[in-house]
Amino acid sequence: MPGLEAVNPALTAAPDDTGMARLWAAITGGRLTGYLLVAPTVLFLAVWFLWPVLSMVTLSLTSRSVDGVMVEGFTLENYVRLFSTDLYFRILIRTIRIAVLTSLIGALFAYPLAIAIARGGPTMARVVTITIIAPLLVNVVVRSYGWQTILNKTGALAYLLKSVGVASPPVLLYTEWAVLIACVHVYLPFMVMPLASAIGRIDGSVEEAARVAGASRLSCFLRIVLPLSLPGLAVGVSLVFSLSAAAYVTPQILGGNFSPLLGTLIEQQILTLNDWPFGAAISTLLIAMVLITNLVFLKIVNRRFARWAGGAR
Amino acid sequence: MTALAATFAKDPEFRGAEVRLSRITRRYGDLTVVNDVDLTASGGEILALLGPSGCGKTTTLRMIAGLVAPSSGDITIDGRSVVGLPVHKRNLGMLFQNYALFPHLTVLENVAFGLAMRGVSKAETSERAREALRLTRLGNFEDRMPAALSGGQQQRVAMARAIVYRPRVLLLDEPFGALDKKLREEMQIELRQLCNSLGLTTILVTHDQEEALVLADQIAVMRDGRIEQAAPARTVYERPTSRFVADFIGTSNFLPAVISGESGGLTLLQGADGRLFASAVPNDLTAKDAVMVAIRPESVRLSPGAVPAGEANAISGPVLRTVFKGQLLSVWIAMPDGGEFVASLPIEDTVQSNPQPGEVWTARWASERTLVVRGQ
Repeated sequence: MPGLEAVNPALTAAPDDTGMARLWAAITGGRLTGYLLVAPTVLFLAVWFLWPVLSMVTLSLTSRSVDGVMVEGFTLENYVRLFSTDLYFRILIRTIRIAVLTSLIGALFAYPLAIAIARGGPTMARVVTITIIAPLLVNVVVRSYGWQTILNKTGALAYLLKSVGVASPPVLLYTEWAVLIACVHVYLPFMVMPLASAIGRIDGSVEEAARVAGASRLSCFLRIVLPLSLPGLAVGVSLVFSLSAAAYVTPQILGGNFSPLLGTLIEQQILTLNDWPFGAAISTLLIAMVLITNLVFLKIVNRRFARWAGGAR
Repeated sequence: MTALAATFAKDPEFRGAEVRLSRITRRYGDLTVVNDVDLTASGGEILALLGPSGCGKTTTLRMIAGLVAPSSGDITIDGRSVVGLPVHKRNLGMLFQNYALFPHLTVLENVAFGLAMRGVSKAETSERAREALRLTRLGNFEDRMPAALSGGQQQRVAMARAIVYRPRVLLLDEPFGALDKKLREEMQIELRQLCNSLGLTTILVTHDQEEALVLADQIAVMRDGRIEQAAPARTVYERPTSRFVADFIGTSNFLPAVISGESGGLTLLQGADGRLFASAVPNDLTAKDAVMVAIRPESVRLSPGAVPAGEANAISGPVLRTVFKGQLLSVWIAMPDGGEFVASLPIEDTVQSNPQPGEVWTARWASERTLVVRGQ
């Protein structure tokens, strides 16, 4: 497009050849329009996202003296402390474990639901979608307290288990299990929706061809639907992993002080202990972790997908 | 190719299975898509289900495959009822309109799929898959992905995938719809040879009458969920029983008439304006039936001048227009009642006498070419 006005000025210049019209032509003819269109978003993100993140990373490389005064300069001491202290390291591992398990269990639950949405009738799809999305309409605090009343020592679950004859039902509240259950519950739509869209894109006759060729329903799923839905699974896993790794309110209310995640740790360091540099270091680690997981995952899937589309190996 | 087919057919006794549909009906709510269909494809024969879109032919095929369950009626393959037998246990091969290749598998893996599902050993699977690919002349494409193939090549992969496990019945759903004309004709001949040499019973769904004539031994013309006529391909063309069939397969001039009698094997008919017809084509119609006389444009001979009064199987009128179609010249003649009558002449016949618009010409045809069909 940039060469267009050189070839034929009449193409880009407005009929009334005033200064304003020429200026407009210069703008629309060039790439300027594109830049102008994205400028507000870029500007917003630069001020409210990029700059804070950069200043947080910088902060994580400084340290704090005992009486709370910030010290200028460069040090890796915060990161060393994070990895060498057993407590912090355990919290890091627990966060990864919860995020991975939420993704895996979520995927397990998500497939039947996604298939129901993609392959069921329109009514079925609508009912399932609304049911899955419903938890997102409830405030996270309310939702978490809801789970608390269910998972409580005297809660609904315990009551139900007792009434069917379980003598001493397990107490799930303030354990990793409670956090896991609540995370799967609320992040399920982020797994189901991309999966349903990926499964919907699989040509129905491809599945039929597999069935006619001798594949049982299970083989058809394992060999056709599962591999072909991987792009959707990758998006879902990325989203759910990121969201549950960064979860704060849910683990705070349901996990309590017995199983804090990184989010809780960050809050403690920054708001309670006033150790901003250390809090920044944990935050930086969390962001890096999520970012790397996403990149690796998408890279793997993209390569696979390019092979199907492009063909040549 | 025949030699390869012979090695491929390790079992020389192999015969395609007989497929029989009895009183098959399929309803969706209030809508009856397939209505009381009786149909038989004998072992090793190619049967075409032919009809306009929405006539129920694809639903019929999908019921044979097991992808749709019939509302009532029975389907047997070699005498054994398959209603209730799941799709993957029917041992059928199927070609889909859009080929439906597995996009994430290579050509060889696509073809090997059916064998892997049958628990054939790895070594034998890849040997037989390669054999099937050679049979469909795709030997060099084993490691390609489907997306890297042309339409014709994808069609061949789909074919290899469908025949590799030696199904006893091959089902084809508009298999050549997406190919261009030349390639389509090539593939039709190839498919016919392949099916014949493998002895497969083949059931083909198509809306293309030419494709049905090229490929099929038997044609079943469907309309509104019912079989309108089922007969050997040539019979369907030469002796259509209804106006619908005569109109759907080939083109015809339709002239209203009533049966007035019979004499010496000829059916005598009376048309509008005192026109007379005599048909030597057997039919089972009587004077009470509403009938039409159908004349194929290519059955007609033209000569200049008007028709003498009282001559049967002739019609005359001024030439409206002529259209040159390569091998044929189509000539439209205006009939007294305002209709048009079209004749197709072999181009060689027009060298000496070429009809010109405005001239009066007479169309004549033999009583063997006078079709009497049911219809209004």
